[in-house]
Amino acid sequence: MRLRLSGELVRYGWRRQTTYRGATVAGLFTNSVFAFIQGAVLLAAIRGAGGNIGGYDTTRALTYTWLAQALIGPIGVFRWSDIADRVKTGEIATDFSRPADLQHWFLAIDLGRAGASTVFRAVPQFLIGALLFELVLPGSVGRWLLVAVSLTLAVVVSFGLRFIANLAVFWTLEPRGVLNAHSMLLVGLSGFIIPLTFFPDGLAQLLRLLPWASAIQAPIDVFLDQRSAAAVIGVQLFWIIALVAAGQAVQRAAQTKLVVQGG
Amino acid sequence: MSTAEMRRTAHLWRVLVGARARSQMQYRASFAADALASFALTFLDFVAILVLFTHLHALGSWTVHEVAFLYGAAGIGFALADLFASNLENTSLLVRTGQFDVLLIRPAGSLFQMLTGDISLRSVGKAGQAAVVLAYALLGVTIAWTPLRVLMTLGIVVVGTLIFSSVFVLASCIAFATVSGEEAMNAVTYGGSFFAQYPLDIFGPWLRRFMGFVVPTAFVAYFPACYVLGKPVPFGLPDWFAFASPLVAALVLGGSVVVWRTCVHRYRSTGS
Repeated sequence: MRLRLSGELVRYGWRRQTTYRGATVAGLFTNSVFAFIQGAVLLAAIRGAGGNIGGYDTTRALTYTWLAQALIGPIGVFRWSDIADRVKTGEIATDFSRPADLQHWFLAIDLGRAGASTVFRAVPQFLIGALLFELVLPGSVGRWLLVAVSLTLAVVVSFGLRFIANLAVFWTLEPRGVLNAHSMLLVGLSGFIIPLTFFPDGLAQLLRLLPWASAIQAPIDVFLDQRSAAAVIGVQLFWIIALVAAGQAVQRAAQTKLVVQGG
Repeated sequence: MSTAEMRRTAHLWRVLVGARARSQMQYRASFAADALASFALTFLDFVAILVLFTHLHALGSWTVHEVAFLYGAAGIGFALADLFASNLENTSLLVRTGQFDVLLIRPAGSLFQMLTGDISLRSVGKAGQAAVVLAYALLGVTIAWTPLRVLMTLGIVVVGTLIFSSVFVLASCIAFATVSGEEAMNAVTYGGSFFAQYPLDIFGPWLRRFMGFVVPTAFVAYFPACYVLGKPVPFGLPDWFAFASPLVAALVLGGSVVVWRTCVHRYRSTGS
Protein backbone atom coordinates (compact mmCIF):
# COMPACT_ATOMS: atom_id res chain seq x y z
CA MET A 1 0.00 0.00 0.00
CA ARG A 2 2.68 2.42 1.08
CA LEU A 3 4.89 1.45 -1.84
CA ARG A 4 2.01 1.97 -4.24
CA LEU A 5 1.32 5.43 -2.84
CA SER A 6 5.00 6.34 -3.24
CA GLY A 7 4.87 5.11 -6.83
CA GLU A 8 1.85 7.31 -7.54
CA LEU A 9 3.58 10.34 -6.01
CA VAL A 10 6.74 9.74 -8.06
CA ARG A 11 4.61 9.60 -11.21
CA TYR A 12 2.79 12.79 -10.18
CA GLY A 13 6.13 14.60 -9.74
CA TRP A 14 7.29 13.35 -13.14
CA ARG A 15 4.11 14.50 -14.92
CA ARG A 16 4.19 17.92 -13.28
CA GLN A 17 7.77 18.43 -14.42
CA THR A 18 7.08 17.41 -18.02
CA THR A 19 4.10 19.76 -18.43
CA TYR A 20 6.27 22.71 -19.38
CA ARG A 21 8.00 21.74 -22.62
CA GLY A 22 8.75 25.25 -23.90
CA ALA A 23 10.51 26.09 -20.67
CA THR A 24 12.88 23.20 -21.33
CA VAL A 25 14.23 24.84 -24.49
CA ALA A 26 14.68 28.20 -22.77
CA GLY A 27 16.43 26.47 -19.88
CA LEU A 28 18.79 24.55 -22.15
CA PHE A 29 19.73 27.78 -23.90
CA THR A 30 20.42 29.63 -20.65
CA ASN A 31 22.43 26.84 -19.07
CA SER A 32 24.46 26.48 -22.28
CA VAL A 33 25.38 30.17 -22.19
CA PHE A 34 26.53 29.76 -18.59
CA ALA A 35 28.50 26.63 -19.52
CA PHE A 36 30.24 28.52 -22.35
CA ILE A 37 31.26 31.33 -19.99
CA GLN A 38 32.30 29.10 -17.09
CA GLY A 39 34.12 26.74 -19.47
CA ALA A 40 36.09 29.61 -21.01
CA VAL A 41 37.11 30.89 -17.58
CA LEU A 42 38.28 27.44 -16.43
CA LEU A 43 40.18 26.85 -19.69
CA ALA A 44 41.94 30.22 -19.41
CA ALA A 45 42.85 29.37 -15.81
CA ILE A 46 44.13 25.89 -16.66
CA ARG A 47 46.22 27.26 -19.55
CA GLY A 48 47.59 29.94 -17.22
CA ALA A 49 48.51 27.23 -14.70
CA GLY A 50 50.42 25.19 -17.29
CA GLY A 51 47.76 22.73 -18.43
CA ASN A 52 46.50 21.13 -15.21
CA ILE A 53 44.88 22.17 -11.93
CA GLY A 54 44.25 19.46 -9.32
CA GLY A 55 44.03 16.67 -11.89
CA TYR A 56 41.78 18.66 -14.23
CA ASP A 57 43.10 19.17 -17.76
CA THR A 58 41.04 21.13 -20.30
CA THR A 59 38.93 18.09 -21.35
CA ARG A 60 38.03 17.16 -17.78
CA ALA A 61 37.35 20.80 -16.91
CA LEU A 62 34.88 21.13 -19.79
CA THR A 63 33.22 17.84 -18.82
CA TYR A 64 32.93 19.16 -15.26
CA THR A 65 31.39 22.43 -16.49
CA TRP A 66 28.70 20.80 -18.63
CA LEU A 67 27.92 18.28 -15.87
CA ALA A 68 27.53 21.05 -13.29
CA GLN A 69 25.11 22.93 -15.57
CA ALA A 70 23.25 19.70 -16.34
CA LEU A 71 22.77 19.03 -12.61
CA ILE A 72 20.91 22.34 -11.99
CA GLY A 73 17.57 20.76 -12.91
CA PRO A 74 17.67 17.39 -11.13
CA ILE A 75 19.38 18.75 -8.01
CA GLY A 76 17.08 21.81 -7.86
CA VAL A 77 19.89 24.31 -7.35
CA PHE A 78 17.72 27.41 -7.70
CA ARG A 79 14.26 28.43 -6.45
CA TRP A 80 12.46 25.47 -5.05
CA SER A 81 9.76 26.76 -2.72
CA ASP A 82 6.97 24.19 -3.16
CA ILE A 83 6.61 23.54 0.57
CA ALA A 84 7.23 27.15 1.69
CA ASP A 85 4.49 28.29 -0.72
CA ARG A 86 2.08 25.81 0.85
CA VAL A 87 2.98 27.10 4.31
CA LYS A 88 2.19 30.65 3.19
CA THR A 89 -1.18 29.71 1.71
CA GLY A 90 -2.07 27.38 4.59
CA GLU A 91 -2.34 24.31 2.35
CA ILE A 92 0.35 22.74 4.52
CA ALA A 93 -2.41 22.00 7.07
CA THR A 94 -3.93 19.56 4.55
CA ASP A 95 -0.50 18.02 3.97
CA PHE A 96 -0.02 17.46 7.68
CA SER A 97 -3.37 15.69 7.95
CA ARG A 98 -2.64 13.17 5.18
CA PRO A 99 -2.21 9.51 6.11
CA ALA A 100 1.42 9.70 5.00
CA ASP A 101 4.51 11.31 6.46
CA LEU A 102 5.08 14.87 5.16
CA GLN A 103 8.76 14.34 4.38
CA HIS A 104 8.09 10.99 2.73
CA TRP A 105 5.27 12.52 0.66
CA PHE A 106 7.34 15.38 -0.75
CA LEU A 107 10.46 13.25 -1.23
CA ALA A 108 8.51 10.86 -3.45
CA ILE A 109 7.20 13.75 -5.56
CA ASP A 110 10.70 15.22 -5.72
CA LEU A 111 12.19 11.96 -6.98
CA GLY A 112 9.65 11.96 -9.81
CA ARG A 113 10.48 15.59 -10.59
CA ALA A 114 14.21 14.87 -10.56
CA GLY A 115 13.78 11.81 -12.78
CA ALA A 116 11.92 13.77 -15.44
CA SER A 117 14.39 16.61 -15.10
CA THR A 118 17.29 14.21 -15.64
CA VAL A 119 15.76 12.76 -18.81
CA PHE A 120 14.49 16.02 -20.35
CA ARG A 121 16.93 18.59 -18.97
CA ALA A 122 20.19 17.09 -17.73
CA VAL A 123 20.80 14.53 -20.50
CA PRO A 124 20.09 16.93 -23.41
CA GLN A 125 22.15 19.61 -21.64
CA PHE A 126 25.17 17.33 -21.38
CA LEU A 127 24.65 16.09 -24.95
CA ILE A 128 24.86 19.68 -26.24
CA GLY A 129 28.23 19.98 -24.52
CA ALA A 130 29.36 16.58 -25.80
CA LEU A 131 28.44 17.51 -29.39
CA LEU A 132 30.34 20.80 -29.24
CA PHE A 133 33.40 19.72 -27.28
CA GLU A 134 35.46 16.63 -26.61
CA LEU A 135 34.27 15.43 -23.18
CA VAL A 136 35.19 12.49 -20.95
CA LEU A 137 32.63 9.68 -20.60
CA PRO A 138 32.48 6.83 -18.05
CA GLY A 139 34.19 3.82 -19.61
CA SER A 140 32.08 0.92 -18.32
CA VAL A 141 28.50 -0.08 -17.56
CA GLY A 142 29.48 -0.47 -13.90
CA ARG A 143 30.68 3.13 -13.81
CA TRP A 144 27.41 4.36 -15.36
CA LEU A 145 25.50 2.45 -12.67
CA LEU A 146 27.60 4.08 -9.95
CA VAL A 147 26.84 7.47 -11.52
CA ALA A 148 23.11 6.67 -11.41
CA VAL A 149 23.35 5.66 -7.75
CA SER A 150 25.37 8.74 -6.79
CA LEU A 151 23.04 11.04 -8.72
CA THR A 152 19.96 9.58 -7.00
CA LEU A 153 21.61 10.02 -3.60
CA ALA A 154 22.57 13.60 -4.56
CA VAL A 155 18.91 14.36 -5.28
CA VAL A 156 17.93 13.00 -1.84
CA VAL A 157 20.67 15.03 -0.09
CA SER A 158 19.56 18.16 -1.92
CA PHE A 159 15.93 17.41 -1.03
CA GLY A 160 16.93 16.99 2.62
CA LEU A 161 18.47 20.48 2.60
CA ARG A 162 15.59 22.06 0.66
CA PHE A 163 13.00 20.44 2.95
CA ILE A 164 14.54 22.03 6.05
CA ALA A 165 15.06 25.42 4.33
CA ASN A 166 11.42 25.39 3.23
CA LEU A 167 10.05 24.49 6.66
CA ALA A 168 12.07 27.37 8.15
CA VAL A 169 9.28 29.62 6.88
CA PHE A 170 7.24 28.48 9.92
CA TRP A 171 9.58 30.66 11.98
CA THR A 172 10.67 33.42 9.60
CA LEU A 173 7.18 33.86 8.01
CA GLU A 174 8.85 35.13 4.82
CA PRO A 175 10.60 32.41 2.80
CA ARG A 176 12.88 34.52 0.57
CA GLY A 177 15.75 35.02 3.02
CA VAL A 178 16.32 31.42 4.07
CA LEU A 179 15.74 30.00 0.59
CA ASN A 180 18.21 32.45 -0.97
CA ALA A 181 20.76 31.69 1.73
CA HIS A 182 20.28 27.97 1.06
CA SER A 183 20.83 28.44 -2.70
CA MET A 184 23.94 30.54 -2.19
CA LEU A 185 25.47 28.02 0.21
CA LEU A 186 24.72 25.24 -2.24
CA VAL A 187 26.22 27.18 -5.17
CA GLY A 188 29.24 28.38 -3.23
CA LEU A 189 30.24 25.27 -1.25
CA SER A 190 29.17 22.33 -3.40
CA GLY A 191 31.78 22.48 -6.15
CA PHE A 192 29.27 24.09 -8.51
CA ILE A 193 31.41 27.15 -9.46
CA ILE A 194 34.84 25.50 -9.44
CA PRO A 195 35.83 21.89 -8.69
CA LEU A 196 36.48 21.47 -4.96
CA THR A 197 39.92 20.01 -5.70
CA PHE A 198 40.98 23.53 -6.84
CA PHE A 199 40.75 24.67 -3.20
CA PRO A 200 43.81 24.36 -0.92
CA ASP A 201 44.08 20.72 0.29
CA GLY A 202 42.74 21.01 3.85
CA LEU A 203 39.83 23.19 2.77
CA ALA A 204 38.98 20.86 -0.12
CA GLN A 205 38.94 17.90 2.31
CA LEU A 206 36.61 19.76 4.65
CA LEU A 207 34.26 20.90 1.85
CA ARG A 208 33.98 17.32 0.56
CA LEU A 209 32.70 16.24 3.98
CA LEU A 210 30.02 18.95 4.16
CA PRO A 211 26.51 18.12 2.88
CA TRP A 212 26.58 20.51 -0.11
CA ALA A 213 29.38 18.61 -1.85
CA SER A 214 27.24 15.47 -1.65
CA ALA A 215 24.69 17.20 -3.87
CA ILE A 216 26.96 18.39 -6.74
CA GLN A 217 30.63 17.43 -6.56
CA ALA A 218 29.87 13.83 -5.49
CA PRO A 219 28.11 12.63 -8.66
CA ILE A 220 30.62 14.59 -10.79
CA ASP A 221 33.54 12.89 -9.02
CA VAL A 222 31.97 9.49 -9.66
CA PHE A 223 31.34 10.38 -13.31
CA LEU A 224 34.93 11.56 -13.83
CA ASP A 225 36.33 8.71 -11.69
CA GLN A 226 38.17 11.42 -9.77
CA ARG A 227 37.91 9.76 -6.35
CA SER A 228 36.92 6.41 -4.84
CA ALA A 229 33.21 5.91 -5.57
CA ALA A 230 32.77 3.97 -2.31
CA ALA A 231 34.09 6.90 -0.26
CA VAL A 232 31.92 9.42 -2.16
CA ILE A 233 28.77 7.33 -1.81
CA GLY A 234 29.55 6.63 1.85
CA VAL A 235 29.58 10.36 2.65
CA GLN A 236 26.34 10.81 0.70
CA LEU A 237 24.65 8.03 2.69
CA PHE A 238 25.80 9.60 5.94
CA TRP A 239 24.23 12.94 4.99
CA ILE A 240 20.99 11.34 3.86
CA ILE A 241 20.59 9.70 7.28
CA ALA A 242 21.53 12.92 9.09
CA LEU A 243 19.32 15.19 6.96
CA VAL A 244 16.28 12.90 7.06
CA ALA A 245 16.55 12.76 10.87
CA ALA A 246 17.02 16.54 11.11
CA GLY A 247 14.09 17.07 8.71
CA GLN A 248 11.88 14.86 10.89
CA ALA A 249 12.79 16.91 13.96
CA VAL A 250 12.05 20.21 12.18
CA GLN A 251 8.80 18.77 10.87
CA ARG A 252 7.66 17.78 14.37
CA ALA A 253 8.53 21.23 15.73
CA ALA A 254 6.67 22.88 12.84
CA GLN A 255 3.62 20.69 13.45
CA THR A 256 3.33 21.89 17.05
CA LYS A 257 3.58 25.49 15.83
CA LEU A 258 0.84 25.08 13.25
CA VAL A 259 -2.42 26.87 14.03
CA VAL A 260 -5.29 26.21 11.65
CA GLN A 261 -7.68 29.13 11.51
CA GLY A 262 -11.15 28.02 10.64
CA GLY A 263 -13.67 29.76 8.46
CA MET B 1 7.63 64.96 -21.27
CA SER B 2 7.48 68.41 -19.71
CA THR B 3 9.56 69.33 -16.67
CA ALA B 4 6.49 69.28 -14.43
CA GLU B 5 5.54 65.82 -15.69
CA MET B 6 9.06 64.52 -15.13
CA ARG B 7 9.05 65.90 -11.62
CA ARG B 8 5.72 64.23 -10.92
CA THR B 9 6.98 60.91 -12.30
CA ALA B 10 10.15 61.11 -10.21
CA HIS B 11 8.07 61.90 -7.13
CA LEU B 12 5.70 59.02 -7.80
CA TRP B 13 8.65 56.67 -8.34
CA ARG B 14 10.13 57.66 -4.97
CA VAL B 15 6.80 57.17 -3.18
CA LEU B 16 6.11 53.77 -4.73
CA VAL B 17 9.65 52.39 -4.43
CA GLY B 18 9.83 53.69 -0.86
CA ALA B 19 6.61 51.82 -0.06
CA ARG B 20 8.05 48.58 -1.53
CA ALA B 21 11.20 49.02 0.53
CA ARG B 22 9.21 49.53 3.73
CA SER B 23 6.98 46.54 3.04
CA GLN B 24 9.99 44.27 2.54
CA MET B 25 11.44 45.41 5.84
CA GLN B 26 8.26 44.38 7.68
CA TYR B 27 9.45 40.81 8.10
CA ARG B 28 12.53 42.01 9.92
CA ALA B 29 14.19 38.66 10.64
CA SER B 30 13.77 37.47 7.09
CA PHE B 31 14.98 40.72 5.56
CA ALA B 32 18.02 40.88 7.84
CA ALA B 33 18.87 37.25 7.02
CA ASP B 34 18.32 37.94 3.35
CA ALA B 35 20.46 41.10 3.05
CA LEU B 36 23.19 39.75 5.33
CA ALA B 37 23.28 36.37 3.60
CA SER B 38 23.37 38.03 0.22
CA PHE B 39 26.27 40.24 1.43
CA ALA B 40 28.27 37.45 3.09
CA LEU B 41 27.48 34.56 0.78
CA THR B 42 28.21 36.37 -2.48
CA PHE B 43 31.81 36.42 -1.23
CA LEU B 44 31.79 32.66 -1.89
CA ASP B 45 31.45 33.62 -5.54
CA PHE B 46 34.53 35.85 -5.36
CA VAL B 47 36.41 33.26 -3.29
CA ALA B 48 36.20 31.00 -6.35
CA ILE B 49 38.21 33.61 -8.30
CA LEU B 50 40.76 33.90 -5.48
CA VAL B 51 41.08 30.12 -5.42
CA LEU B 52 41.71 30.03 -9.18
CA PHE B 53 44.47 32.60 -8.70
CA THR B 54 46.24 30.37 -6.16
CA HIS B 55 47.19 28.31 -9.24
CA LEU B 56 48.14 31.10 -11.66
CA HIS B 57 49.54 34.63 -11.89
CA ALA B 58 47.25 36.01 -14.56
CA LEU B 59 43.96 35.16 -16.27
CA GLY B 60 44.74 36.08 -19.85
CA SER B 61 46.87 39.13 -19.09
CA TRP B 62 44.85 40.22 -16.05
CA THR B 63 46.13 39.91 -12.47
CA VAL B 64 43.88 39.01 -9.55
CA HIS B 65 43.45 42.67 -8.57
CA GLU B 66 42.61 43.68 -12.12
CA VAL B 67 39.98 40.93 -12.37
CA ALA B 68 38.69 42.08 -8.96
CA PHE B 69 38.36 45.59 -10.43
CA LEU B 70 36.12 44.24 -13.22
CA TYR B 71 34.20 42.04 -10.77
CA GLY B 72 33.60 44.83 -8.27
CA ALA B 73 32.79 47.64 -10.69
CA ALA B 74 30.48 45.54 -12.89
CA GLY B 75 29.03 43.88 -9.78
CA ILE B 76 27.85 47.15 -8.21
CA GLY B 77 26.16 48.16 -11.46
CA PHE B 78 24.41 44.83 -11.83
CA ALA B 79 23.30 44.77 -8.19
CA LEU B 80 21.73 48.24 -8.56
CA ALA B 81 19.99 47.21 -11.80
CA ASP B 82 18.79 44.05 -10.03
CA LEU B 83 17.56 46.18 -7.12
CA PHE B 84 15.44 48.51 -9.26
CA ALA B 85 14.62 46.58 -12.44
CA SER B 86 14.43 42.88 -11.63
CA ASN B 87 10.66 42.99 -11.14
CA LEU B 88 10.61 42.84 -14.94
CA GLU B 89 11.32 39.13 -14.48
CA ASN B 90 7.68 38.85 -13.45
CA THR B 91 6.39 40.19 -16.79
CA SER B 92 5.95 36.64 -18.05
CA LEU B 93 3.92 35.66 -15.00
CA LEU B 94 1.70 38.74 -15.32
CA VAL B 95 1.06 38.10 -19.01
CA ARG B 96 0.29 34.43 -18.38
CA THR B 97 -2.18 35.16 -15.59
CA GLY B 98 -3.78 38.11 -17.37
CA GLN B 99 -2.73 40.54 -14.63
CA PHE B 100 -0.69 42.52 -17.13
CA ASP B 101 -3.95 43.89 -18.57
CA VAL B 102 -4.54 45.70 -15.30
CA LEU B 103 -1.40 47.77 -15.88
CA LEU B 104 -2.73 48.94 -19.23
CA ILE B 105 -5.84 50.56 -17.84
CA ARG B 106 -4.04 52.54 -15.14
CA PRO B 107 -3.03 56.16 -15.78
CA ALA B 108 0.72 55.46 -15.86
CA GLY B 109 3.09 53.79 -18.32
CA SER B 110 3.33 49.99 -18.14
CA LEU B 111 7.14 50.07 -17.93
CA PHE B 112 6.96 52.61 -15.09
CA GLN B 113 4.51 50.34 -13.28
CA MET B 114 6.73 47.30 -13.75
CA LEU B 115 9.71 49.23 -12.38
CA THR B 116 7.73 50.31 -9.31
CA GLY B 117 5.78 47.05 -8.87
CA ASP B 118 8.45 45.57 -6.64
CA ILE B 119 12.13 45.99 -5.85
CA SER B 120 14.75 43.47 -4.84
CA LEU B 121 15.96 45.11 -1.66
CA ARG B 122 18.28 42.21 -0.83
CA SER B 123 20.50 43.27 -3.76
CA VAL B 124 21.81 45.98 -1.44
CA GLY B 125 23.84 43.17 0.12
CA LYS B 126 25.26 42.15 -3.25
CA ALA B 127 26.14 45.79 -4.04
CA GLY B 128 27.95 46.03 -0.71
CA GLN B 129 29.95 42.89 -1.45
CA ALA B 130 30.92 44.19 -4.91
CA ALA B 131 32.02 47.49 -3.33
CA VAL B 132 34.26 45.60 -0.90
CA VAL B 133 35.79 43.64 -3.80
CA LEU B 134 36.35 46.92 -5.70
CA ALA B 135 38.11 48.36 -2.65
CA TYR B 136 40.30 45.24 -2.51
CA ALA B 137 41.13 45.77 -6.20
CA LEU B 138 42.00 49.44 -5.74
CA LEU B 139 44.37 48.57 -2.88
CA GLY B 140 46.23 46.10 -5.09
CA VAL B 141 46.56 47.86 -8.44
CA THR B 142 48.83 50.79 -9.20
CA ILE B 143 46.83 53.39 -11.11
CA ALA B 144 48.19 56.74 -12.23
CA TRP B 145 45.12 58.57 -10.88
CA THR B 146 43.87 61.55 -12.87
CA PRO B 147 40.47 63.28 -12.51
CA LEU B 148 39.39 61.49 -15.70
CA ARG B 149 40.29 58.05 -14.32
CA VAL B 150 38.37 58.76 -11.09
CA LEU B 151 35.39 59.90 -13.16
CA MET B 152 35.57 56.79 -15.34
CA THR B 153 35.71 54.47 -12.33
CA LEU B 154 32.58 56.07 -10.90
CA GLY B 155 31.12 56.12 -14.41
CA ILE B 156 31.41 52.32 -14.67
CA VAL B 157 28.89 52.00 -11.83
CA VAL B 158 26.41 54.39 -13.46
CA VAL B 159 26.84 52.95 -16.95
CA GLY B 160 26.62 49.41 -15.57
CA THR B 161 23.35 50.18 -13.79
CA LEU B 162 21.88 51.68 -16.97
CA ILE B 163 23.08 48.95 -19.35
CA PHE B 164 21.98 46.08 -17.10
CA SER B 165 18.62 47.77 -16.42
CA SER B 166 18.11 48.08 -20.18
CA VAL B 167 19.02 44.41 -20.58
CA PHE B 168 16.31 43.57 -18.02
CA VAL B 169 13.79 45.62 -20.05
CA LEU B 170 14.78 44.08 -23.40
CA ALA B 171 14.94 40.53 -22.07
CA SER B 172 11.55 40.81 -20.38
CA CYS B 173 9.98 41.57 -23.78
CA ILE B 174 10.33 37.83 -24.48
CA ALA B 175 7.21 37.48 -22.31
CA PHE B 176 5.15 38.98 -25.14
CA ALA B 177 6.47 36.46 -27.67
CA THR B 178 6.26 33.19 -25.74
CA VAL B 179 4.65 32.21 -22.47
CA SER B 180 7.32 29.81 -21.28
CA GLY B 181 10.58 31.41 -22.38
CA GLU B 182 11.20 33.44 -19.24
CA GLU B 183 14.20 31.35 -18.25
CA ALA B 184 16.03 32.55 -21.37
CA MET B 185 16.09 36.01 -19.74
CA ASN B 186 18.65 34.74 -17.24
CA ALA B 187 21.15 34.04 -20.03
CA VAL B 188 21.56 37.75 -20.73
CA THR B 189 20.79 39.26 -17.30
CA TYR B 190 22.62 37.01 -14.82
CA GLY B 191 24.70 35.59 -17.67
CA GLY B 192 25.63 39.14 -18.71
CA SER B 193 26.72 39.99 -15.20
CA PHE B 194 28.74 36.74 -14.96
CA PHE B 195 30.39 37.52 -18.31
CA ALA B 196 31.20 41.15 -17.41
CA GLN B 197 33.18 40.02 -14.34
CA TYR B 198 35.91 38.51 -16.49
CA PRO B 199 38.34 39.99 -19.04
CA LEU B 200 36.80 39.92 -22.53
CA ASP B 201 40.01 38.58 -24.07
CA ILE B 202 39.74 35.13 -22.45
CA PHE B 203 36.54 34.31 -24.38
CA GLY B 204 36.26 32.86 -27.88
CA PRO B 205 35.09 35.03 -30.78
CA TRP B 206 31.41 33.96 -30.86
CA LEU B 207 30.83 34.29 -27.14
CA ARG B 208 32.65 37.63 -27.21
CA ARG B 209 30.44 38.96 -29.99
CA PHE B 210 27.18 37.78 -28.46
CA MET B 211 27.75 38.50 -24.76
CA GLY B 212 30.20 41.38 -25.19
CA PHE B 213 28.73 43.37 -28.03
CA VAL B 214 25.15 42.21 -28.84
CA VAL B 215 24.41 42.20 -25.11
CA PRO B 216 26.85 45.06 -24.71
CA THR B 217 28.44 43.95 -21.44
CA ALA B 218 31.96 44.69 -22.72
CA PHE B 219 31.07 48.37 -22.36
CA VAL B 220 30.00 47.95 -18.73
CA ALA B 221 33.43 47.50 -17.18
CA TYR B 222 35.91 45.98 -19.62
CA PHE B 223 36.63 48.87 -22.03
CA PRO B 224 36.57 51.63 -19.38
CA ALA B 225 38.77 49.41 -17.15
CA CYS B 226 41.32 49.07 -19.96
CA TYR B 227 41.76 52.83 -19.82
CA VAL B 228 41.71 53.18 -16.03
CA LEU B 229 44.20 50.32 -15.56
CA GLY B 230 46.39 51.50 -18.44
CA LYS B 231 45.91 48.41 -20.62
CA PRO B 232 45.75 48.55 -24.42
CA VAL B 233 42.32 48.04 -26.04
CA PRO B 234 42.63 44.59 -27.68
CA PHE B 235 41.48 43.05 -30.99
CA GLY B 236 42.77 46.07 -32.97
CA LEU B 237 39.80 48.13 -31.77
CA PRO B 238 40.28 51.90 -31.62
CA ASP B 239 41.31 53.47 -28.30
CA TRP B 240 38.16 55.60 -28.09
CA PHE B 241 36.18 52.40 -27.37
CA ALA B 242 37.26 52.96 -23.76
CA PHE B 243 35.15 56.14 -23.76
CA ALA B 244 32.16 54.83 -25.73
CA SER B 245 30.32 53.38 -22.72
CA PRO B 246 28.09 56.38 -21.90
CA LEU B 247 27.01 56.56 -25.55
CA VAL B 248 26.32 52.80 -25.66
CA ALA B 249 24.37 53.05 -22.39
CA ALA B 250 22.23 55.90 -23.76
CA LEU B 251 21.54 54.02 -27.00
CA VAL B 252 20.63 50.76 -25.25
CA LEU B 253 18.44 52.56 -22.74
CA GLY B 254 16.58 54.47 -25.47
CA GLY B 255 16.35 51.33 -27.61
CA SER B 256 14.97 49.24 -24.78
CA VAL B 257 12.19 51.75 -24.08
CA VAL B 258 11.25 51.81 -27.77
CA VAL B 259 11.24 48.00 -27.98
CA TRP B 260 9.15 47.72 -24.81
CA ARG B 261 6.59 50.20 -26.16
CA THR B 262 6.40 48.37 -29.49
CA CYS B 263 5.87 45.05 -27.72
CA VAL B 264 3.17 46.42 -25.44
CA HIS B 265 1.50 48.16 -28.37
CA ARG B 266 1.27 44.83 -30.24
CA TYR B 267 0.33 42.88 -27.14
CA ARG B 268 -2.92 40.97 -27.30
CA SER B 269 -4.27 39.76 -24.01
CA THR B 270 -4.41 36.01 -23.38
CA GLY B 271 -8.00 36.65 -22.42
CA SER B 272 -7.93 34.81 -19.14
